[in-house]
Amino acid sequence: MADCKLYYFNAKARAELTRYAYAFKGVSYEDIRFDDTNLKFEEFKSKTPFGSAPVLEVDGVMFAQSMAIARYVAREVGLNGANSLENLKIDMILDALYSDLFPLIINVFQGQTDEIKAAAKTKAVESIQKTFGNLETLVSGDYFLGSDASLADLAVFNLVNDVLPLLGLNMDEYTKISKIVASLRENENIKSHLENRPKTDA
Amino acid sequence: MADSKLYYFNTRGRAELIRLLYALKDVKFEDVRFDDTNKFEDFKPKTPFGSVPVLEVNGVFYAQSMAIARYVARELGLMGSSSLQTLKVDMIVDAITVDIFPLLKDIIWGATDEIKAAAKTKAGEVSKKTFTALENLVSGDYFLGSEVSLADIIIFTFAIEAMPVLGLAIDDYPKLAKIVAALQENENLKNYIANRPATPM
Repeated sequence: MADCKLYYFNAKARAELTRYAYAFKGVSYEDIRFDDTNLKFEEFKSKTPFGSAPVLEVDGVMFAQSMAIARYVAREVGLNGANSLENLKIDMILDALYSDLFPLIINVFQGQTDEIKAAAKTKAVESIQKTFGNLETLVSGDYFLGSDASLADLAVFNLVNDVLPLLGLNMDEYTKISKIVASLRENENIKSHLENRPKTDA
Repeated sequence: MADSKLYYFNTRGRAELIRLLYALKDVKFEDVRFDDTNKFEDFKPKTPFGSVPVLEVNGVFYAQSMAIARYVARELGLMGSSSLQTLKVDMIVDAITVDIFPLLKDIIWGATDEIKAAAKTKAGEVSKKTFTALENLVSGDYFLGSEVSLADIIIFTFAIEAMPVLGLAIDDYPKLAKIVAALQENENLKNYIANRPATPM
């Protein structure tokens, strides 16, 4: 796999799943973060496909869309399951987390009044609990696919470790998912990534 | 490819993209639509997330319309011939389904006329920006060159279903318009569209 460059803000948000994929498999890449001096997003923007980030540069070509990038990296590093149906299972779980829940969570922080934020939080928490209840039944052994971790497990780790605490949620009542999260937290590569990554609010 | 069963309502909605893929490649599948005898409420507990569409493959149920669309596209050879081509397809698909589709909901189902109007303005702005970018990603006859992919089909469905709602014209984007025209002339798709159940959505 060619050395890739991942461009994003200094945040976890929509890039962290890809960073976890690289870290878990010990594959190196350039983790580039916009700042106010060396690389301003406003100046970089015109080089991107849609004026957005994250962007992954592979052999000089820029690719956009955080989930498209995460899926590509998962394919390249071996986190995409062993066949097309396992790939479908992973995609289903990713969509439940990032297409369905993520936007509801963002609404909580972007709400324009306290009232709107409170209503958004109620809705988000309800959906999160319903979704996690369903995800719990999809765990098939140690991980979602059985004995090997995949992008789906890293995704649930991203949500539980990085995102849901922002809403004051822990997911301990979901025992199988909690077991996945605990295993990944104890993984040497993930531990190292957690210790060394820049500390950011989101 | 195993005989698959697609379960959904008798509408186009979130299942039509999947049905179009099978139609394009003339591959059979069971197109199950809920009705008064075969009810969604009875089926719901069997689904992974209580939602549809669901694809049943070898007795296992899979949810999430875009995950299913990607699987079917993969099986039918519509996700490109390499991992980087698949990334390009995924990127284009997400630009439509992640960035624009969610905005369409508020246009149709927004709680007030104000909300609907604001959503339409926003969706229009995002769509123009996105389509300008997508025009630059067309690499020959289709996004990947000479090979059709899920990316082309999503533009096709968007042009037909969504652009009218947004008051936008695909002809403003010549390369994209050419893709849509080519797919409109495709015999398999023409046939399927002429014969599918007529539903409002």
